[in-house]
Amino acid sequence: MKPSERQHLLRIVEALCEGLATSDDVARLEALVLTDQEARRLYVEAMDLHGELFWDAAGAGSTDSIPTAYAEIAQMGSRQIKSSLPQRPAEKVPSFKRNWKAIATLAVATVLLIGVIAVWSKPAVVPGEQTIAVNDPEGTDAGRPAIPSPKTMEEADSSVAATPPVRLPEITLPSVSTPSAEERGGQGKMKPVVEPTPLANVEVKPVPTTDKDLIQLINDEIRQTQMAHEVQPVARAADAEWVRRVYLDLAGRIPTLSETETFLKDSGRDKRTVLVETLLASPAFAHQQATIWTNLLVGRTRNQEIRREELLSWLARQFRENRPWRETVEELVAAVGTPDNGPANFLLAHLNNQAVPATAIASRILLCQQLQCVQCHQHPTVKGWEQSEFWELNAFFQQTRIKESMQFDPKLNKTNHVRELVNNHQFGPTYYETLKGVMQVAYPRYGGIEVMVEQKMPLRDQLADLLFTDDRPQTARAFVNRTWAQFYGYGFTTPLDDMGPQTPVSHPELLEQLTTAFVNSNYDVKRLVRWICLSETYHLTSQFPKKGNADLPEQGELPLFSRMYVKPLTAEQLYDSLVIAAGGSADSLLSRSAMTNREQWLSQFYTAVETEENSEETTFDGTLPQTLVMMNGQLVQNAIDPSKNQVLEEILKGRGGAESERIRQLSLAALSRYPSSTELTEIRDALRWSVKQRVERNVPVQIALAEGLKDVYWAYLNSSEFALNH
Amino acid sequence: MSSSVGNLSSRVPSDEFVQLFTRSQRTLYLFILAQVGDVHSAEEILQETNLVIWSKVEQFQPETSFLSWARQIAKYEVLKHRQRFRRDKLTFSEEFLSVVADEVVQQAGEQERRRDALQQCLEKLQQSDRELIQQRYQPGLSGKDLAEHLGRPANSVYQSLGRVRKALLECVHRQLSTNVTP
Repeated sequence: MKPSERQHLLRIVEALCEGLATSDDVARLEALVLTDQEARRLYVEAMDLHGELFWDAAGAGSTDSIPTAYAEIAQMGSRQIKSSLPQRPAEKVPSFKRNWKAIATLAVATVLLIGVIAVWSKPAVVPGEQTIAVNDPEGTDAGRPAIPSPKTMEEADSSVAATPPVRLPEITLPSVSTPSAEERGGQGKMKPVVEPTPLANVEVKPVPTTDKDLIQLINDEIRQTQMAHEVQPVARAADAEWVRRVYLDLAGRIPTLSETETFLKDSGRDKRTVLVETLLASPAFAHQQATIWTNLLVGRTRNQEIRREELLSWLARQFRENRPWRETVEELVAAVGTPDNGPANFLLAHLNNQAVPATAIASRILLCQQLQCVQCHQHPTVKGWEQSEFWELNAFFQQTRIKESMQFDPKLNKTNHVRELVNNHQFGPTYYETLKGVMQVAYPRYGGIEVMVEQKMPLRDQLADLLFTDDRPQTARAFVNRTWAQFYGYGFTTPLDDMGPQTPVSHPELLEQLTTAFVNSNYDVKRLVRWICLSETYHLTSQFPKKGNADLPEQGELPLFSRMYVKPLTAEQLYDSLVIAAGGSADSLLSRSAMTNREQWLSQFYTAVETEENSEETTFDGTLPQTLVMMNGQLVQNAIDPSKNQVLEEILKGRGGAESERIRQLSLAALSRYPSSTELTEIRDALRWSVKQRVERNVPVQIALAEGLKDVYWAYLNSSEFALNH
Repeated sequence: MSSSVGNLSSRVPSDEFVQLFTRSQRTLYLFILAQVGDVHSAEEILQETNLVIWSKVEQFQPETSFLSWARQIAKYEVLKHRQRFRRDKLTFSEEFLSVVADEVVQQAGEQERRRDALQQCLEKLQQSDRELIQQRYQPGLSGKDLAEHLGRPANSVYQSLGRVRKALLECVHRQLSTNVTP
């Protein structure tokens, strides 16, 4: 038997002993045992070992196997029998050992677990009494519990009849020293930590429940990490900077001229908080969130197979009514029906290719885990991400198919081709090929839990359940990470959608705490956004600190959030903002026609690409196509046309009087801020010069001025400042 | 145990029978375990087997091998159990069962020595490793439970357990091959 085969066999037996063996393993085992004498022997020896250990420890089966009726009879000859009862080997009480790790002993937590029930059953998350997870690299252990020798055997001797009560030993955990938060924050200065902590192991101190406390928590955690890296946060953003940012982030557009003016003039102390709340409650928020997630789920390109707008409006409803995120995910995963049913569009779009895109996209978008590589081979850096990871997830989708039919629509009086997402009654496992060409089988399995074949519930419904079985499910963590990144430009991991042991986390404790809080809040999306937007970090300016600093996520370092990172406007935000800049009303943006127009406008930038992940190509990335559209496109033309742009018209008509004042108004309309004095002077000079030019060509002064002002506005709209969220 | 013991034979079993019975338990258990691969199923099947054994007391011919007789019964129970849980993916083929059963019987002679060797090898383990094994085999405890209880990631615990079990296996093997009792 080759050494590799031997290893393999032993590995399978290990899995068998721990109940982790897959049917794959079983097949391999059989093959080996049936063909190789040595393998057979080894297998039996190994199982024997396991059995002996089990038997000796349990002592069970030795006494309660004799039926009661015979117990008395056996008692008669009990004297002889006693000697033949399996003797428990002398149990040495393992000495209570404390193995202190040589680390700072700040934050020593002692947990006393009274009663084994607390240990074996899943502990509820109770503030102040949480099980402390030890951040423990393999091999070294911080102490072991003492195991008093069970008394079951002595009892068994005296009363053979009674089944010895299974008394589980009491276990006291020794004091466990956990690395303090500062330490963990301080380790690995700015370079990624060599051994990133698996997030599930991160210690979570009791998480507060009120908004106020959670916001404070965020502030404290961020500040702490900054201090550990000796970085100072910058000053707060001025109102003008901040108001534009918050409108863009929460409503997907720049504020209108009057909205900006109102805010700037407001002298209330809580005006920022009030504005956040107002925007959270507005339909624009729901719409923007829905847009973001629709783009994530099905992309921006027009797809004949689905009705994107149905998904969008369903998501908008979910966000407007602030339905728990969990519910949204569950519906997306388990949806059935035609494209008329919003959530069904997600899978309708991706179920091609044996649900390979569905698997990859669901994992990347909803779990922030990039599994697509694992489709064909073991993940190169993440241990444990075998091919089976991908295919076991894929197996959940195998019960689903798209039923195509022709349906007659009486209203339109024609027959339509209809695609419907349905769950089959029968299904089988999924098969895949390894790199070596070996066919493997994969049964639906997620999070280590394999789905029982007999269960009546459709597979995708079961997956929906499984996605949320943990205390801190990855679905929650992923959502927190994405949402954070939505507002800050960077999430806690880079890349955002590849969370795993191979990806360093910038603020592991904060991420876990926010995840816990999010779960505890019953996946309340608006609350999460509130915590993010009302934290101190969100108030910071985006201006680079004068002295320069070490917070440079653009260079691949872990972000410290010591300033607001500049984000480019998304295509939708740009469109909506141009409409606003062109004097459009905020409400008009939510109309169906506006959405159609917007989609059309967007389509010039996005094309679908036939890959295994149904990806898209975009030219909306600051390069030439975008620039040209900005410079010459109709939207901007409309914006600078006073007959189309009422706001501009008013400015041109002399609302404000002097040129300077009009320039200030233009700046406010376009950039939501007043120009600095230098800026103002320069622009005014340029304006005067252009008027002079025109007048020399015999253009009437008024016209020349109007034209000049239009040019200024055009310049503002085409500035990089306009296209950025800062 | 689901079945009742109403069909017990009226004959009072001899002391000898009882003795043989209790002595065979461990061997029977290991016999069953090798065929089903799961400690808990093996226990269940053993219990079923025992019921049958007790119901057929009079069928046993004294002076014949108790173990052979009991093993036959156990084999049948293994097949029955397999039939019931046929759709469970951990089902071995009948051929596997029979081949493994034979192997177990072949190795049965060494069982006592193996047991002793195991005890000695456990002594030879590092304190922490021995404790790990002892904890793992606490009744009712799984590897995953242990991981939770220790606050270590499950995979790391599995790795450690695998390492220790492997060490024990090698040690026992070595003991048996060197200490050949005449």
